[in-house]
Amino acid sequence: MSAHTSPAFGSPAALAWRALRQDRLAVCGLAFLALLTIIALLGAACTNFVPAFDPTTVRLTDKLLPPFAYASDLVASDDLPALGQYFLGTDELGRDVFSRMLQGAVVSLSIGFVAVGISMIVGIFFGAVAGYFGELSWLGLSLDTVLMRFTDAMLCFPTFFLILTVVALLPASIYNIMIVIGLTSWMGTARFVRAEVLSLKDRDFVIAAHATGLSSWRIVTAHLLPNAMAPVLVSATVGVASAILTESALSFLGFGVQPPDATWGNILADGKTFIFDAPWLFFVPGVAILLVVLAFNLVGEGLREALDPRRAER
Amino acid sequence: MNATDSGFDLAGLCVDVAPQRPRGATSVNIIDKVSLRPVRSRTTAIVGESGCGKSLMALALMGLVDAPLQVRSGTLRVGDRTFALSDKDAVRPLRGDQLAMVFQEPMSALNPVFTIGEQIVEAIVTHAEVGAAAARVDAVGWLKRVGLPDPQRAFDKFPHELSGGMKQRAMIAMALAPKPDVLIADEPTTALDVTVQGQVLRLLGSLQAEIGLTVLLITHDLALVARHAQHVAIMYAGRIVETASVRQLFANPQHPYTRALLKCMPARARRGEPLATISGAVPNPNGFVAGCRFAPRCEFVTEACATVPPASQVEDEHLVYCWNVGL
Repeated sequence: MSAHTSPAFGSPAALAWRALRQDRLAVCGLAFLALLTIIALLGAACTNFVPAFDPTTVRLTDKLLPPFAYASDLVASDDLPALGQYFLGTDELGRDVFSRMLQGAVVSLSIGFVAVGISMIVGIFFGAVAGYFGELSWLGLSLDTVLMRFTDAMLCFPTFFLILTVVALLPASIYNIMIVIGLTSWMGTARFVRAEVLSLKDRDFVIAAHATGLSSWRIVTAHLLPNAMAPVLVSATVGVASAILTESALSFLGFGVQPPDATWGNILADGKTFIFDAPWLFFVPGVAILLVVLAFNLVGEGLREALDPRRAER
Repeated sequence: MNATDSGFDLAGLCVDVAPQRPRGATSVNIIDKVSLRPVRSRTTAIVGESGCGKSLMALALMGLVDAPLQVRSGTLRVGDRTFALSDKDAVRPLRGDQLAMVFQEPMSALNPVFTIGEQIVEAIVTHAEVGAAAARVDAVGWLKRVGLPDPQRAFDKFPHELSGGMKQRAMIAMALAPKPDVLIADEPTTALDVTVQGQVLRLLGSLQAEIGLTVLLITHDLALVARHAQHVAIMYAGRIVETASVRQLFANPQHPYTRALLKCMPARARRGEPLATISGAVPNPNGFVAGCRFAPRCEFVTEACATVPPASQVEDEHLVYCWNVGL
């Protein structure tokens, strides 16, 4: 930090951002994710509207070609890939792996974000209610006990098998998968938020807010939750990574998003049959998943450091 | 209603602590039958040692007492309406609107994630039907009145960007912006250094003159009372032991506790002699004795002190709760 900038000034978000920028790995992760998001969004447009990027075009003459191979002369001109080249090779039906990866990127990222969004909403709601209104009780059971024991019970389920069971019973649409992953991953957030709310609710500024005459609801939503966001943000970032992993695992087992829709998980699953003949079918989605999960974890770790209140003022 | 009636008075406030376990254990009384009648547009100081229940009384007044503490009885009269303090939601409509509070630690009484401007605007719009732009203008006006330099810029400052004194000024702006009738200032200057203390209290004094505010100043500092208050209530172990005007109290202190407190003031100590102290400390509420609660530390204790002393009127406005008045 240069001597001219004083780190103690600026909004809490600005202070955290300044601290995050000191963390090279987190910045790399963030840059990678930003790039990937742009690619995924452009890819979504291309795979839907540009025939050269159509991930469902089957070219049986060009099966299992390695990366950077050129399309053969036998392919109809309408079915040619972009620039006539398969950047990441083709699969057993001659589909362009690059186009399929683009389509899968949107699916994987949106599953990650939507599932985490759902889990945050449920977790924050349960945590805030248990933390703030936990003392209310009926029949000797406090609201806090009821909600947190339910949370504990949810934590006891082997989540992945619960998801497998639910997905086996429900039609395997992308939306069901988002909802199921979201509804089985909110428990950590609920615990964080409850703990934060409990520690914040007797702080002077909350009493001051009461003294100003604000309603309890307003105090929880406007004064407590913004102060409790730091651990939530960290767990959300890491949560996106684990949601993407869960989706990949589900698709790999054949319970996830169904073909012909591509996700990184089912590209990987298709590729495992040809692991010795066409290793790129396996490595491309595998490495992509690895990099995305790594990037999210690095950003999450960086955020944890940056938002840590005990961090020495640098 | 006469001229000195502030339209605000507290009667018979009792606060207990209910022990969590063993179940069914009797609750312990902390604040016992405290009544207060502050004078309109004047500062009434509530003075006592740490742990004598001053702050708790303030919180009870605002309906902000939480379990295991519990308001057993007490009423608050505001204008011609009376509120039962045992129902802590009863006074809720008064909070901020007619009763405001300034806290001891300005560092922790402002929300760290919002600018002070946002917090003042929130206080304004909670109590008045005004648009965001008008509330902003109003808030900047208040920041100016409490003497923050460059109020336009101060509006967008976060609490951690201000000094302690500036934060306390911002707190005062936030408390006064909804135009309350009564301000409870709970040791508003204890966390500030001496020069800033004087500034903040003079500011309160001038705002009081300007808007006719009734102030309840909670403090343990009698020097401060002499300079900035007009009326005093001395509190000990959850009871009021003496109420008087500042002049009466300093000229003619009656209760042994008041006299002891006055002796402990450094300004009144004689040079070369050790500063007087009151031996012991305010007992834990479990150790409150029956009768006069000051008796165990009192040098004039008699047998009569085993029963609660009644109020004796010394002069007009000067009441003392002691068996040994005039001895």
